[in-house]
Amino acid sequence: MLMLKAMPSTAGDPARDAVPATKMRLSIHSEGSRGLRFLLDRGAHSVFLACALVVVALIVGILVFLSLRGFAAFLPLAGNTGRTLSFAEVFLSTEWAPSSDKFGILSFMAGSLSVTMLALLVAAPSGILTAVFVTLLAPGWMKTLMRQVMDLLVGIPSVVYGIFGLTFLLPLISAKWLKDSPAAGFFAAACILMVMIVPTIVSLSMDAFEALPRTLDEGALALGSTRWQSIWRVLIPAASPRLLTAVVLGMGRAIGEAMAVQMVIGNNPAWLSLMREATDRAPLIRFLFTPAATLTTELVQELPNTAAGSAWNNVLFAMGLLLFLMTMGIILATRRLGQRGAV
Amino acid sequence: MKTQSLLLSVIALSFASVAAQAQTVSVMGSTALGPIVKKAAEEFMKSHPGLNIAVSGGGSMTGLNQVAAGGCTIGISDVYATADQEKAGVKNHNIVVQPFTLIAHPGVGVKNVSAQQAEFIFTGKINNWKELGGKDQKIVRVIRPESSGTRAVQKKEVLHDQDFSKDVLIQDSTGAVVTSVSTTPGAVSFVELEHLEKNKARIAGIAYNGVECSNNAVKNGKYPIFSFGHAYINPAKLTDAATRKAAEDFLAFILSKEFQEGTVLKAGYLPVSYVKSMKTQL
Amino acid sequence: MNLMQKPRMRMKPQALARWTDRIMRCVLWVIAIGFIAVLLIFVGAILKQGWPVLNLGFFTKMPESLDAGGGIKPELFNSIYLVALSLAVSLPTGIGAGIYLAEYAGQGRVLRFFRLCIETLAGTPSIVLALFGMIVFVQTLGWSFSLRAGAMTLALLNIPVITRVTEMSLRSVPPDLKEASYGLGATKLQTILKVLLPYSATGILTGVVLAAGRAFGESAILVFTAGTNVSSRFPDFRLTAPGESLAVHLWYVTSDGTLPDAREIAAGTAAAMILVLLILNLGVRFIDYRIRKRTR
Repeated sequence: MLMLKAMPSTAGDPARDAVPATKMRLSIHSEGSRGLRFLLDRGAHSVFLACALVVVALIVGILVFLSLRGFAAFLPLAGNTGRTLSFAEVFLSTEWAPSSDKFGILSFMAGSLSVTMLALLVAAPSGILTAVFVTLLAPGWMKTLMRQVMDLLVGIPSVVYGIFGLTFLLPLISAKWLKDSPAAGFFAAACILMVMIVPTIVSLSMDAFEALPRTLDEGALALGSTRWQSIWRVLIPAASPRLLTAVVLGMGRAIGEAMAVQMVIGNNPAWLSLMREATDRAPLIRFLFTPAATLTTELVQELPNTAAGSAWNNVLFAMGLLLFLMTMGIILATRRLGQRGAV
Repeated sequence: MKTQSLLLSVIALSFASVAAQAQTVSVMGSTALGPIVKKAAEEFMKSHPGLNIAVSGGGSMTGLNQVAAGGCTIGISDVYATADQEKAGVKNHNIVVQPFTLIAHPGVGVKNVSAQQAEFIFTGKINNWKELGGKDQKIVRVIRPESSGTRAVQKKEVLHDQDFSKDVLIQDSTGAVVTSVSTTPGAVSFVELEHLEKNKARIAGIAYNGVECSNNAVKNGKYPIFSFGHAYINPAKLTDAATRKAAEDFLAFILSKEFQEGTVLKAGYLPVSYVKSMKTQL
Repeated sequence: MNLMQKPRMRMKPQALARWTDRIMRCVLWVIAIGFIAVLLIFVGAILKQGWPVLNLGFFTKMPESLDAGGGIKPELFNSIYLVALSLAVSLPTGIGAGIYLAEYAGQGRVLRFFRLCIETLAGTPSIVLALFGMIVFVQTLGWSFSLRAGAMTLALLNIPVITRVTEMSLRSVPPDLKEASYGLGATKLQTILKVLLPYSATGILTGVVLAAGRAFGESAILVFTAGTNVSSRFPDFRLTAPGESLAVHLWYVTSDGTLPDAREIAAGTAAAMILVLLILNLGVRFIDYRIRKRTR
């Protein structure tokens, strides 16, 4: 609503008269109300500051509440009904069988990393190249079109992607390529994730290319290089710190996605040992098409059905905390990259 | 804890709304039982104007957690309460009987398995439909997540408490299981009977020990795999007498002959009375 | 700087460079058209599947819990209501924070710290926000699964987006405009409200629509905070009512699968969501166009 009031309008607009700003316009001309103006200005300052502090409070809140529940797994707290776990048996073990008292989440961490890297493998280059295309080569109409396309791809709900994957993509891969064996696994999940994160990478990479000085491109062209040579040898290297930031932020989105991945990945916590034992297929095929699980998929599946205070429930919250810390780590990493780029 | 609740009440104030004036009974828990309880709520509210029954999902344990902590009036669940929740005072009411059946992709060529074969399929001792007289096709086991009530029933009744094979495909929900089984050649799974009946065109049922799962087979005691749907209330936390009365009346309505033999049967469940004499605890 | 050394124009045969150039241009076109094709196929498939289901009855009937033939009226209402409620919280907060960052925070450590917080919140996976919302609103405050718990948690998703877009839009205002305002004797607050915000309104609006679109399609958060059921009354504006949204309905119907027409309902719901998304996107283009026309 605020922005509607703030839209340009003529002086007589009745909606505007309700806004304190109108009163202040009068006060410019009246000498006596200096104090009021000052007060309003100070007041506004604190209101805006308070808004900004809300964000800080939220970060602290998330950290505190997730820690309270997550660390309960490792500390003998009052609300616990299960046993207290050690860090090693949670973070360094791949054995996940909560009903048999095994809580290793290493395979979920490995799963999150694998699927993210796999998605990035395709999404990063194609995203950056699309940004190159849109900012440097495409005709005007194509630019507008591509922006629309990216906006829409970002907006499509992840459940829709997930259901599309489950009912259409999986049967297709299974029937066409796998001689009828199931297709759930990293490959399908990465395909869907790729489409979901490319728009992020594209829009941030576009910013990166737009921020480059024109002279760089012009100079390279003047020296006789072709357009592609200029892009490949001058522009991409020059933009690389910000491109890397774009990729890392895309990675953040991929790690955190839950609903879509959960429907197509197969959700098998024992995927690491399953992959080691099965020898009937080539290693790469096994890696791509073994049902696997990630931190987010496990959270979505198990959280609604675990008892509060049990070690199982606590470990799930610890996984949520881990995801949050990973986000913070990723953001800090992009900071570093950004600073390096600024030099 | 004090500062925490203080902080929270400040946040709460900024967004709290006026509490509902109507008498409200909140139901949380199992998404599988959600539809039948919601239907019951609709019928019950018609005869009890001024009463509002709000049914929301969240999962069986979420419902049990909430009812144990006093976060909702009734918790509905596919599984029994844990010992700790029992200690908190929750009281069980079995509200429906849910038969389960084995299902498979229509192309596997097997119509019946013995109890032992069913066990071997899921523990991983049998890996090809050929071994059961079917097509030469690898068996793809599709099961539910470890915390699921269905999986608990399956482990107890079909696997006789042995562990599942590691080579499984896990789907979060029965709907996703059915989709997976219908699109994956060689797939086998274990679902509530109503899901087979509604998807006969896409998946095939497999008889267990020569008996096809059906309401009658369960009623006659010929088909052994079923579980109860539960509704829990926590009298200790229901300090408001009116709410408690409303909740108890609502549960009584669900258990009434009229509802049990009408809507419950129509929805693909069995009335509790049909199997009352049989085992009460799975 | 090493930039200057990078463009080594090795004197390979000119022809090779020209060919590479041509091939890579083709590759770029192919990639771009590939994405357009992916989108078209995707949106086309969803609309095609859902089209037969989309009729007036589908939008105006209550959902059924056991029988076929249910509609999505309350879900559609809840989706819009949830987005509106969450914006009611996140819009003032986000714009306020954006103003603070752009106009008050200076350039030093304070700004860097706030930015770090906002980026972190923006990057936080929605499942983590869902956990937070579940602990705080659903459990600790005892709000149960309700519209208010869902809306508050959704607001967490929107706040960083709106803050960032407000800050960026304010920063893109030409400095001479600001100076002129001060020169006329306006205070900082007057300058912000009367010069900076009107000038950056389009930018902010675009960001808000993007945020609304994301909130509209969000499911992970709402499954854990607003629940998978709707109130039996319609329309139910009470904040305590259960608040299943379209996205959650889609997820619930496909995963529960007990409705006889679950697949049709899912297809219709997905198509309805895509339609709303298209309308939202076209709408913002239109408003953008109108405002540009008026300000030019």
